[in-house]
Amino acid sequence: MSRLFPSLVEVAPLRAVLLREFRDALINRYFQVFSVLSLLGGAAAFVLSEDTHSIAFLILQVSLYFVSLFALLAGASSAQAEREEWQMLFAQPVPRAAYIIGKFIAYLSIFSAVLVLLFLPGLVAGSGAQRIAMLYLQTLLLAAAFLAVGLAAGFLAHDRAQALIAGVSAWLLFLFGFDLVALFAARWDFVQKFPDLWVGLLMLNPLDSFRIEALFALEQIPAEAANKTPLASWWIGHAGLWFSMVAAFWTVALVALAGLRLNRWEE
Amino acid sequence: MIAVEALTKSYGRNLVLRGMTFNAAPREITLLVGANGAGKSTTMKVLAGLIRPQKGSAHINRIDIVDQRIAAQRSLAYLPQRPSFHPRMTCAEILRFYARLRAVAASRYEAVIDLAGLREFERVRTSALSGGTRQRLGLALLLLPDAPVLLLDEPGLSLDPGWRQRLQDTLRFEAERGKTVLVTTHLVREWNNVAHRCLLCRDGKIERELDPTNLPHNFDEMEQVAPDAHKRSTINEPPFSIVG
Repeated sequence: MSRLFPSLVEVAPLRAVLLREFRDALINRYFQVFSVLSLLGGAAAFVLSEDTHSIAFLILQVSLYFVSLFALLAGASSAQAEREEWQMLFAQPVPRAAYIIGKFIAYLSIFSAVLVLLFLPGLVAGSGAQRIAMLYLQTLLLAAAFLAVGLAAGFLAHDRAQALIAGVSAWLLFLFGFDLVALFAARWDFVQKFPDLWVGLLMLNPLDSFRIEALFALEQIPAEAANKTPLASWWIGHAGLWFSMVAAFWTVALVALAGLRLNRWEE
Repeated sequence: MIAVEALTKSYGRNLVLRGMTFNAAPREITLLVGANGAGKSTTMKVLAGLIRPQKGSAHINRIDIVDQRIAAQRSLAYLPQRPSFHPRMTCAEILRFYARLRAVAASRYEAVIDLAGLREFERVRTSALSGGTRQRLGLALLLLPDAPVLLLDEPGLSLDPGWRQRLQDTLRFEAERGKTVLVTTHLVREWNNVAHRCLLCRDGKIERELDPTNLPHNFDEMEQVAPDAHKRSTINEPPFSIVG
């Protein structure tokens, strides 16, 4: 790890990278579209929902689909935007990992600000400050994980088209792929004998973990659904903790993968 | 100064550098000339810390570029063959970023913008720049950190004759200030009487040293070195036969 992310002690270069990445995030088209969608989504939740409970549920759906997708697209396009500049960038006395860490911090910081647009109407409508705050933090964790997916796809791919295809494929895999595999696996005798394997597969998926955590938090699922297997029972009992761990795992693993790729990059 | 010792580098089965060895001294402009595929640009990329050689060593101001990449890169500035930049950022944003990165004083930043004739392009996105202006932005970034070692890979291909002359004058001035300047080029005649030394590169190593004040007369010799140069050349890469 120390070889991958060498000493980042010099402040001036890191500050320069951070400022550049903040600027890059502000002019990123996916990010601009996401900001507008967040504002519209927040307003729609406020205007169209019949009660405070359904406001939170609508925000959850926006978070599940749009936040994950746009975080991924913003990450992938950002990684590719300066690909042609790598020769100039990597000839500078800065660890290559600084560019990834800078991107991640800048994008996540701006995401955290833009997400307020989505959640503020719910707060104003009186959906429960604590519930909305929890959902906001969970959504931010989800954004971090999918930003990391996007960065990894962007840095691993050879061009912009390849990055977008890889990124969207990864998003579909998390959104549908895990569930489809689980659906087919449910027919196998072996899995029926050890149903925790089936549960474990879903637990590894940050989107499923987010869904379970948020849905239970919003009381959209009856509590008795939690008692099907021991692992499922544990999962439901610690859904928030588990989601935080899964999101952190994917984030760190994918940022490290992108760092490894950049460290080994040769023209 | 630059010290290159027995560099070996291959891409897959293609052995590009086969024991490249040379030195480049401060206060001198050293030219690396040779046909396409001779290993000039690969040598530059090793020196800039962009690629790692399989064998051999390369030192920038006595610091190993492979083992102490960041420390060595503090002493160098590199201009790639085709400098490219973030397409949605302006010239000023790009310059300011590299100035912050290398902790450059504001006065030098202003001086470099004027030197490269970029004042009127400060607010222009780099995607809207012509090839020549982009080269000038690259030149500005090369000069910005006031690094003691300057590496230029085929500089000036997109520049008009006036700016090529200014580039050479600037490099001569920087060499006189004590810098080590290493340039790779196809345009041998344009660099006649500009460089202090000229090294002929062939098959991934230095074949011999040429007289830098009489480069056009070495042309016939070089053509024998790369008899099929005109076949390998493309529109963007002038063959040796059109040099001068």
